[in-house]
Amino acid sequence: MKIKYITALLVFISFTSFAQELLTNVTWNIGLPVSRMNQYTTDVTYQGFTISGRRFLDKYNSVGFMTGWNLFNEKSYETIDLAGGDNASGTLSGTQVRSVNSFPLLVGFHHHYGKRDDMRAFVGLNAGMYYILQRLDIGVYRIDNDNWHFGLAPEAGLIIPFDGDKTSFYVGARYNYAFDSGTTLGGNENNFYSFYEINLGFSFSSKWF
Amino acid sequence: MRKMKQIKLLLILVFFAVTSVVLTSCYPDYGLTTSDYDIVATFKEDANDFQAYKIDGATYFMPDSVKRILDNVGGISSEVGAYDQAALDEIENQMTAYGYTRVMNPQNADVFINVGVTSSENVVYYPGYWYGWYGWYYPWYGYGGYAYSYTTGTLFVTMIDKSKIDEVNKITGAVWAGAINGLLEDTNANTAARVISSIDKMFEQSPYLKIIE
Repeated sequence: MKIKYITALLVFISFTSFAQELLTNVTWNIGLPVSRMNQYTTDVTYQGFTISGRRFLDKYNSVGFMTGWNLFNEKSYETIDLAGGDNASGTLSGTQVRSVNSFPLLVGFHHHYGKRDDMRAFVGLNAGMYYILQRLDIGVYRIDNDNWHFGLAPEAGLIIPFDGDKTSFYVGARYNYAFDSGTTLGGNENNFYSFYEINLGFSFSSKWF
Repeated sequence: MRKMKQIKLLLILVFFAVTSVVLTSCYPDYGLTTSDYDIVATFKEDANDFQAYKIDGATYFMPDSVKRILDNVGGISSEVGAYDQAALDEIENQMTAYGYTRVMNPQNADVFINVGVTSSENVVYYPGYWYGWYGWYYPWYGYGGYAYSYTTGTLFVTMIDKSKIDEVNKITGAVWAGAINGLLEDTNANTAARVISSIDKMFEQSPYLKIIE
């Protein structure tokens, strides 16, 4: 898809633009699926991480990129209703292992409040592509459904300097929305995904000329 | 200042260590047993009125044997399987519980119940990491890798409405079907128990079959 290449180009531009500071963030994520995604996997996940970089355009505003991985998975015994079409229907039961892998590739714009070297709050909006792999293991069978989705991820958080050093604690919250793309595992429409994240980790600052 | 730097470094190392442990436990094993690989599927013709069978007493005919479909070569085998009778008995129990009466003359039956089984051996091969590279010793190529096989079995139960059979237009008259599939790599006692519980599950997933008096 062309938009993947546009995203990659924007990432390149964000790092070649003139800027004073580069911020690299590494976080561990806690994820909560919501909406349609919550009907497939309901459990909170503790398996996720994000790596992001921000280049400051001035004292308060930055552009950057983020990528990472979130894995939602659970064991389920729910009976699945099958729509067979042509005046037929059915059911399918068995121990299932359900999982959703989300790999974001986003560019973002953030506004930071306060002074550098002080605790700074920030808000931002990320946009780009999500590669999402949905998997169902039932019996000895495995069914995969993967698509690239355009998505948005607004976020807010705090960067808390560690004793005036160039390392800070990073605390944030993000909402991820991957728009409809392709079809669901069952071949239906409305194949969108949405989930919340809490991001906990570190932020590393360095000057760049 | 130096102590703070050491504490900071320690915190960062702990963070990466914990994150690594959490992430490497991805796709947990879940401790699945052989019975966790059993699946039960049922299908029905939505327009069929199962309650209409009670007019004539909801009768059914079921052969005393299970049709064994041969894997790969096709055709039907006359061989009798270890769990055939247990399966037939349990199907009869469930049909009785659902209000159906078994008759020995197919001419007197509203529906036919056919039971068939098939098994399939699946071989999985993982090529080794060095598979595509030439090596130092015979056979020089295609090292490593391993293979394993597993056998699955499938039992089919089909309900055919006698009045809907149309041989000219090749319509079977099937109004309901159930299938169970699972691994055959288990003790005989466990496999028999799994077959019976799966048949029970098949009927549990088909409450519309029950004749309401």
